[in-house]
Amino acid sequence: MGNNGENVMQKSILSSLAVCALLVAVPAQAADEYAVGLSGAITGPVAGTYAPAVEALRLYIDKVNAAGGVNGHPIHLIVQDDQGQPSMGATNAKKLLGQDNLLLLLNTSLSSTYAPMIAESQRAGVPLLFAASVCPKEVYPPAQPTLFCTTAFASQFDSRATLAFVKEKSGTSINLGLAAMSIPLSRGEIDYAEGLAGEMGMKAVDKEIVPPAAPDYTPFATKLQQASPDWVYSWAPWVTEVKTLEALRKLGWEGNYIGWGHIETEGELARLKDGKFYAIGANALFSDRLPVQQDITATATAANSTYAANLMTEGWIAGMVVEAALKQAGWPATPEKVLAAMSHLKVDTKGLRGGPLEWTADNHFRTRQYYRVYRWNPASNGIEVVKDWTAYEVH
Amino acid sequence: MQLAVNIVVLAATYALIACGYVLIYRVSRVLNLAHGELMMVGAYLLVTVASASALPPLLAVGLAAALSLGVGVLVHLFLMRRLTGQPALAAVLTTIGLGILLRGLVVLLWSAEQQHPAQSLGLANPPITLFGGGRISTLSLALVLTTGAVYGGLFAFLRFSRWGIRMRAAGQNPLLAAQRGINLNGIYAVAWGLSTFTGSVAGILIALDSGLDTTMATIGLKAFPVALVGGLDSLLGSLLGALIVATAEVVLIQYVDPLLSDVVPFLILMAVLLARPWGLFGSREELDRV
Amino acid sequence: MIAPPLLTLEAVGVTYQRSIVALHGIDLTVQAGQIVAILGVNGAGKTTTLRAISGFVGLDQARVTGGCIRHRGTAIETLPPHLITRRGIVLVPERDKVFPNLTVAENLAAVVTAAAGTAERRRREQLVYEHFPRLAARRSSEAGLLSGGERQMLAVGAALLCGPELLLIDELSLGLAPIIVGELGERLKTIRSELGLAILLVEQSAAFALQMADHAYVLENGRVAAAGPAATLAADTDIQRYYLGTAAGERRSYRDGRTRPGACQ
Repeated sequence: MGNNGENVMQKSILSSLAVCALLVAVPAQAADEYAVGLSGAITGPVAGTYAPAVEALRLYIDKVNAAGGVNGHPIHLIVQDDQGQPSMGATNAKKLLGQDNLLLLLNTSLSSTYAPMIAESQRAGVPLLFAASVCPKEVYPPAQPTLFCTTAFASQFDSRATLAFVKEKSGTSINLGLAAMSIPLSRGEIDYAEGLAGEMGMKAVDKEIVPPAAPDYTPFATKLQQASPDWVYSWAPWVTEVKTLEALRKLGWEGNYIGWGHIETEGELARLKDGKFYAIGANALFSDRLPVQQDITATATAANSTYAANLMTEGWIAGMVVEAALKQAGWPATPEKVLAAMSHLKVDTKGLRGGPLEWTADNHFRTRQYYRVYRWNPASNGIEVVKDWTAYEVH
Repeated sequence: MQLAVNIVVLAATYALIACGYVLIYRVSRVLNLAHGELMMVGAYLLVTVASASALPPLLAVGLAAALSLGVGVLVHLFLMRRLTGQPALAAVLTTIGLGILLRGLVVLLWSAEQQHPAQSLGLANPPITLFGGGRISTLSLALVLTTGAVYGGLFAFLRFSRWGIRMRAAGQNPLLAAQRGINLNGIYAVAWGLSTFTGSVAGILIALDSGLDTTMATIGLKAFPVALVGGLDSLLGSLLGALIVATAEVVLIQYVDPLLSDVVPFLILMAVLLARPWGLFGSREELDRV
Repeated sequence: MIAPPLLTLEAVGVTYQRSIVALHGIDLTVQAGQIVAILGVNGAGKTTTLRAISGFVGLDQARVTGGCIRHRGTAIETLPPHLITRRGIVLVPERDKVFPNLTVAENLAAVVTAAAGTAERRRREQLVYEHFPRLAARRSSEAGLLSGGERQMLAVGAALLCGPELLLIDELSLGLAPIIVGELGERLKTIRSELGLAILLVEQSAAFALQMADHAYVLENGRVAAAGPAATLAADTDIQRYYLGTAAGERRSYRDGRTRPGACQ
């Protein structure tokens, strides 16, 4: 067990080799390009959440470049892998900010990588955009000037919308079970939901906090089930949400279950085919068949992408925002110009979200957050919208 | 009742993983810290088999497990064989490197997406209600039965078959074993094959029951304390260690704090190591060779 | 053209841990069916000689750095131990000669008899139990629980199972009661003549070794100091004096005795 030090060291050596070989291939940067850097968890244990977004962003930018770029200039996206590790995130930030005239830095990784990246980007005066990674509190009003976020989920807002939906379906005289993963973000949100449920008059009967690598969720589900909840709410990485549900079902629990709809939602609803499993989210599912979604599908198919198109909404939205910000910044751009553009930006999400994504000088999250609830309808054998877009003002 | 079922399932999971650590250690005195990754590779092999062929589920599982046996043998032939006779530390460090390599390769070859091989095999996993009202999923039951069969098979193999006896002989005194005509590298290859096979069977069954992603390797590592608690060179020990750790984990989740479940294996490990550094069933004299 | 001898060592040198020289050019021959003894004090290189013939493994940190070891004319000094055993050159080591946690029967079952068929293997097993009936009685006891004599029998028995034409025996007599040593010695002679074995024997007990052997070598500091028919060496008063430990103190070396004959008389 004492090999952790070596483990980490070897890991970083090996993975940086891998990164050099596979991901970077940084061509000498031409002076007529917009340079955008990204550090993300492309490999490592949490890659499942982040790698599809990075791929989507890359595809989006390739598409923009193929169509002539922004203001006649291509975007040069430089991607570095940090495996969700703070030390690698810090190294990547230094490396990326060392590029000539880097205009914008993106983080697509675990929140533990934030602190070093925020510090490095602020020192360099380059705006930092969190895309597909959880929005830090600094982007909510009053926002810190250089930090922005496009990610769908939003702590507290999500639980408010979720419990409002539960109330709408079943009233407030219900037993509520809660499930989180033992990471600070998920636990914090579920603790908040517990308090909120109490305020609303619901009875929080049990709260399970599951370690990240639990070989079997049944022991946790057993305890939840024994509290006989009418509803169970989980706001956690998808694995925890779904494995808790599946373990509950195996134990014979037949109540309603609602979880945050991560990027995997679409395929998973179809896999589980569970009529009492609700997924609340801020991104439209591909069952909507929007033109923009057909565009994503076509692009993913043409590029023979690793990940399915329906995992790519989050990265696609980030791409739209990057394109809009650079366009508004004009040419030649500087980090200051990009920052100014981002502070007053309104991006049409073309139906991927409930409305446009709008940033103001002191709100770098979005002025309005929209929620939708989906489920699998066993009768029609398809995904259906249970509750359409509901807007929450963000002040 | 449900509690007992949960304990048995978790213990079977740990035991099935842990016997791989024991097999390799017992035969070649090498701590294989890539066991979790190898078991993950076995589970991903099932994903490939399931998507590349239209085999019936049982055959697909069998094929993937057989392939994993081959992977274990190849690991010995191309990597560990070169370290035969080197200090044990060199071999252990090599397995750490192998683990990192495999983790990277898995993402490259299969992506980091959550996989559900049971679905692509069209395998249903209905729960079964047992006497006393406890419920167990079909695949968890399969896991428990498999663990029983694997341990029964290993005991019989090591006790009665000529190859098994040779494996024990090589573990006790490799030099004498060689002088008795035993090809050490052949024996080690068999041990690596079997160890990867049993680990992969565990990985495959877990993946079928609850899906597969790269955290599988971490689950493999969680079974490592189980092997240490029981004594690294004792199969009986790993069975008992699995039962102790699983009981403690499930009971703590139920009655104390679910968060403790993550640290329990390591707490028990420390307690055991303080009292009996060679583990509950391990041989005392083997300690200096770790 | 005459057939090459069963085993020859030509100027064999062995180095431990890349720097410690244990043998400096040993020459030695064993003819088929012969019993040859290697004598010498502790550290003279007797065990190393046997180990060099039976093959080193990585853990030994030793290797043959010079010369040539031939079995029926074929060089074998680079072969791993299990292949040397399969050629019919089988070692009975001084210590750790059995697998202590395996039963007597398992100790025998572990032996690889690659070339022999099942019938031949069964015949050899029967032979072992015939010659050492005490093993048959203790068939299912763990080898670690056997007496010293029984262990020696098991070790010799396991070696016989390998189907040897040359047995290398390291310290047959060590730590055993004289009556058991005598019994074992007789048994070995019987087996030798029955199977037509050659035996290369390393012994500290020169009396026992010279009584067993046809031919003997005396090693000193990794070199052959004397060689000859066992009877000749047994009759050599110098050898007697320096190897039977009857000599008076100041001459620590046989060679000293040779260069200054009669100095102490």
